[in-house]
Amino acid sequence: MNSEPLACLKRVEGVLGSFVCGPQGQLLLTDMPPEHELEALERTAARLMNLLQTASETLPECRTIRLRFAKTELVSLRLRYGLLCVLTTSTPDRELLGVTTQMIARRLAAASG
Amino acid sequence: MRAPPDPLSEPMSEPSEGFAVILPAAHLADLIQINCLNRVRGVFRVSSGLEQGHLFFSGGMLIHADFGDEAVGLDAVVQMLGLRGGSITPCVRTWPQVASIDMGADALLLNAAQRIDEGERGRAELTTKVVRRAPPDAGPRPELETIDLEPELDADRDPELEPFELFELTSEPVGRAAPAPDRPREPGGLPASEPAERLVRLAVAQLALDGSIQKLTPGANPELADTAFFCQRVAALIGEELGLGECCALSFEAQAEGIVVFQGRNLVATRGKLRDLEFVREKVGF
Repeated sequence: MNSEPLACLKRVEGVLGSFVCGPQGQLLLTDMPPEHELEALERTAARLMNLLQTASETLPECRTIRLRFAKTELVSLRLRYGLLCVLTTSTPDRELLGVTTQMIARRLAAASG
Repeated sequence: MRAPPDPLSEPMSEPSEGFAVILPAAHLADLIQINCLNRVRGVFRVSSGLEQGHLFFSGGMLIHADFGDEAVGLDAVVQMLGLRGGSITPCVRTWPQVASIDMGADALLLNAAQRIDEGERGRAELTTKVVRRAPPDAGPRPELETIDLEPELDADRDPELEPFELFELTSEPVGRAAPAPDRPREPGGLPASEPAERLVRLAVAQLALDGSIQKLTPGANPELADTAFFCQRVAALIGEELGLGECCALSFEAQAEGIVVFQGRNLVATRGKLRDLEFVREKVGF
């Protein structure tokens, strides 16, 4: 699966991997560590879309989801058609991460017309 | 009511090593959090004029509090947080047989801040909002019965009232209130918000780990609680699926508003302006 559009995220300190999913949770791009199998990522993507839809009922215009785990964070940014998801350590360079994810979101939006 | 850690009946041992600190701008809420964070075991006397109370810390929790002749537990904490100043000193005191407080520092301060806020609205009585889930066979999505006993809002309430005041922390009672410094001002001339003020602006839902709603502050509704519970469960599945472990906190952000959900002994969902939520984020390391 193509990972080139996500490559610049790897240069952000604390980023472990990333993927992009469509509105039904289908994987479109992935640059995740190899220990995460595609099936697991697809189930995760579907759950994240579910989370976003549920949260949007309570918080309209919800655009970012952050899940904090023991040593990692999973940050998901709403795209026009889907989600950009980034797995990081618990202390990433948040400023650079925010700028980079916005940049990728714009690129993907432009590419999708 | 929960039995405190063993042994409870023994008096506090000799004062431990450390520094006597005088902090003219210290907040009682800070002391509670610091002592819980550092798992301090000991008793502190809170004095303000002729009024006096005690805080009992053990095992990372504030397990008991008393104030004056009658107030114990959360009531005592609320009254002490409402003092305008005074002194906080370590002391030796017999431990209670039974703990009167059964919540962590964050949940305790959230509850206390809410109570203080409600008190400042001109009503001494606690706002009581009892929420019960309908029986499981009521349908696929449980309906909620709400008994709302909210007091009327006091239109004359002063929004600038400070729920948390200044204390001196010292090894000896000082017998006078520390003067409150001028609060910094935010752009636009408004006073900068203290953490407690930010807290009381948040809508907070507290749930048991089985999803039953324990408490809703004004502004919070069952939908927030249900959303928090559902999302926390889904997040747990994601953590399990990816081998990331337990999900300890999650947040949702829109343009100006957000929701932060975190799990301790209870599940707590907070909703409010993003800048007000910053305090919660810091507390949960998020």
